[in-house]
Amino acid sequence: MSNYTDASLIMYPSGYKEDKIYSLKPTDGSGDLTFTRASTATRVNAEGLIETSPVNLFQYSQDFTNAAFTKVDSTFSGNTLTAGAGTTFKGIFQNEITQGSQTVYFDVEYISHQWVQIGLGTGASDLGYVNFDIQNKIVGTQAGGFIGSIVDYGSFIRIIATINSTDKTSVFLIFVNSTSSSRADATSSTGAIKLFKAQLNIGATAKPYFPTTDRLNVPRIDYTGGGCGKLLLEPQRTNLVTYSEQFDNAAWIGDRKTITANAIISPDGTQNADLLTATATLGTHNINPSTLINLLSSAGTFSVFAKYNGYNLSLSIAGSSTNWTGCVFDLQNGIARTPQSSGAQSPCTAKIEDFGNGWYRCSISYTPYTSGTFYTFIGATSTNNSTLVSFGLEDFTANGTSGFYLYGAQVEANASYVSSYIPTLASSVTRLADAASKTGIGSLIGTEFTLFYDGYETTGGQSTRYIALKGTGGTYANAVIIEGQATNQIFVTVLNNSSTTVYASSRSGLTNGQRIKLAVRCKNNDFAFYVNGSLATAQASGSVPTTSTLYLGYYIDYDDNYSQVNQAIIFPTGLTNAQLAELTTL
Amino acid sequence: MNKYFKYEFTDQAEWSKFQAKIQVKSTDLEGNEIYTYKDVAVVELGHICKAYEVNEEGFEVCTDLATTWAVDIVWFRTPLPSFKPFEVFPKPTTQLHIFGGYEAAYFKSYCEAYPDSELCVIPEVNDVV
Repeated sequence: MSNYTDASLIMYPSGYKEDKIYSLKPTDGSGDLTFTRASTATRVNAEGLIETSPVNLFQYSQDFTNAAFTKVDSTFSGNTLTAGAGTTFKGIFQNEITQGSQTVYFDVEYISHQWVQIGLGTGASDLGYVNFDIQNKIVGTQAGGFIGSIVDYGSFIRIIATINSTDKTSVFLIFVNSTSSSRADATSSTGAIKLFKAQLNIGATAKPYFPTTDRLNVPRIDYTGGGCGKLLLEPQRTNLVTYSEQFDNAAWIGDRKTITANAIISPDGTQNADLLTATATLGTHNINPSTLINLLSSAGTFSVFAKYNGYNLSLSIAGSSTNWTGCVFDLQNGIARTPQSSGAQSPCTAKIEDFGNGWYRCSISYTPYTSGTFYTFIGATSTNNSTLVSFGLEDFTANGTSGFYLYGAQVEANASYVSSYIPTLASSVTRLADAASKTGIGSLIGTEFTLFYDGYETTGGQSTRYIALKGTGGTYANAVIIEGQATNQIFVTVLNNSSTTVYASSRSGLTNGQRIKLAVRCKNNDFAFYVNGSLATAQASGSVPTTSTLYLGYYIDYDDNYSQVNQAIIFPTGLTNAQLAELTTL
Repeated sequence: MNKYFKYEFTDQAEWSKFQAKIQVKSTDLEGNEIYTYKDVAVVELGHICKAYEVNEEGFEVCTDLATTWAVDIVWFRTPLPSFKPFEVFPKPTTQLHIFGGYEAAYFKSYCEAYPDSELCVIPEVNDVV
């Protein structure tokens, strides 16, 4: 659209790094957004696979002087790791506890020490190692299930080790004595190697290098559902389920079923999805966390990724055998059936999302009828629309061979809708809230302007803030706020320096998840709000507030925002009605 | 630099007093009072179960609930000194809760508090795999 040439700031989710989302315009960096989410998270990448964000699990992946890497009888300076004068353990390590299939690599170059070892351990004990002769570029002894490899880049080599870890707490790079050295072998060498980069990623292949510092504040360009990437902005959430991918762990129990660990490729692209097979006896066939979960008394959401293998799946929460709600998910056709309930528990709402290759993310959202602990069940159903009974499960005699595959269970409290997957091990894990903003852009906004937002209707929180501009003063002084509310309405509110509303408009009748294009024109005595190609209301009075900060996907009052942003644009002019209609037409 | 600490307060009432020190109150456009955390992220774990027993249905049922009120906090500024007496350091491999991405940082804090823990010693030379 030619109007884009008139824009002063264009955010289209493409380039990013830690702490920053690059804007397409201006190109000098003055419009780049500051991004914060002081925790890790997951996203769906361009290949449609779930991955951690950032993908590199090491902190300070190319700053080995940082304390994140502990140096033991060795020093690091100027890209050079030098062995000390001792004869015991020499090298560096970083504490990291992610388990499962994973790959670690270091980019190194021989200077004067020939042999190094990559090891994963638990401090005093270890899981295995691989030795490398970095002078002759040869993989040496591999122990404990490690598989080593080398990629030669000419000026340096990448030494790679893959392993399926169950209890590692540290990753080591150690000076050793030969290609056949044993674990943490002693060496009297005071030689050195060049050390450039390090990466640890989930899966059995070395993924493209992603440089990190503290691994926090990495924006997520999310490809859920395919198509172009969207900037994903979510509220703080905690996954209360432990061992969310290890259904064979003692943290999970159940009835009349067997679990086969790591049976097929999961939605994260690695062979870590488990198979539940219902045994050939009469009764319920289910799996559930071994501890009851306190769902609190507010809205919550229970979800799991599942793939059909002869039976369909039910999800239910139950305070008792007679007070429950649940839903049957048709895994062959990707349909969430009508939710069912019993006793005092009101029916849940259900959602099913296609993750490709036969995988669906099934979820139920509910408001528990009472406070306290609840059962959370994943059950097998004999048909794609079975009637659920006690505890929200079905009783039937299984054939002993059918079931479904499982991956990534999640229970979120204080959550009326499902959010991105949060992997867990022995602990519940919290993902913190995302926020994107840019201060000091008064000159890009100007005294009259048009604010445009392209994303998705994502009501479900207290108030989803899609986009806002803010000037000086209190929370609601000199502000332009476009927000969604749980009633599937979208509002725009323009407030002056006394926090008094200058202009307000709204559009109702929207559908959760639908694409939305919103634009508000702010000119003195000339305001208009367009939603999806049509005018909501216009107003021929009022003064435009002075603003200088852009908030995207959140605002400074509530902290329960959820947005998927395709683009956000500021025009330093008031576009005409015809231009607004064209700009916002779907 | 963000700091992650775990706390146990005597009870929920005591936590409420400290909670007020890290919250701000405002009024939204509809006139509702809202409280939001400022420069911190908080997860209240509440009364932690210290011991479980497996019931006849196979579920673990808590038999010893702590009287203390557990709270995890990430500080985006210097932690308030008044919170210091309530810091606790449960074992990193079995702790109840963690903020995503703080595993290594917490591990380091734990090892500073308990340097002799088996989790914190460096590998011994020539151990057999």
